[in-house]
Amino acid sequence: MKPLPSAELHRLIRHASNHGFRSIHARRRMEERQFDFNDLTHCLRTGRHNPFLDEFKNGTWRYRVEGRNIDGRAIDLVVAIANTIIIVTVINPNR
Amino acid sequence: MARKKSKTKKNYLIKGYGFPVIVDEIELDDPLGDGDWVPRINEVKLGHAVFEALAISPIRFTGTHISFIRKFMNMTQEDFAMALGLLNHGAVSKWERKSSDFAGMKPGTEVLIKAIMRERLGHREFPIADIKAIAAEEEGEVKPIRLHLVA
Repeated sequence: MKPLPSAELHRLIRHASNHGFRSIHARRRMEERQFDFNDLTHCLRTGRHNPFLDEFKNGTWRYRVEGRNIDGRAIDLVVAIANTIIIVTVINPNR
Repeated sequence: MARKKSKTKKNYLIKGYGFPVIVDEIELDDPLGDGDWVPRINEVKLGHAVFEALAISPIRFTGTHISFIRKFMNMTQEDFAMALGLLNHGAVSKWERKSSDFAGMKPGTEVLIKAIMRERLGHREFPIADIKAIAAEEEGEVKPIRLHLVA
């Protein structure tokens, strides 16, 4: 499977702010980096996505979403799209 | 044998808000088939339920409660301070720095915050009995928020 076209990816990422999955790893990293669910939701709603990052596994592609929380703190998310969208990890780009 | 796609778990602890939230029953999914079971949940619905529980119960606020409430209402610290009639965001910042400890605000301020939250939720009344319950609530031990989510 090829990476998704940008418009479709944009639609899925915005949809994921309400409905996507947050992996156990992402939840752990979110806590370690002192972000919370509201920060992730804000980043998915307002952030910018890169075309694609790499192939995660067997046709599942990973994409990076770069954004900020409501307080302006930078936050990046790595998301994977299988039959749904999953936040794979949470990155603090300023570290 | 086909992999099980979903399962339910009782008393599931959600820590993603910075304070403990226990959902009485939740469905888990393994969307990548790699054994990473994650809650099948609508984050907006969950956030709304947590916000409502904090607005309605007499529970005293911790620093992480305040941070959650403010971000849920899509407010900066400055916006939140302004909504409370404060001159600057110094007090909000101080409360949030208490993290999982009680924020140490006056009961009257907590009543005002809960009134703003109830107004957001469309509640038209704030019974005197509820206000008295907040004033009478001892800080004591921080209790988890317990939720029953209806599918």
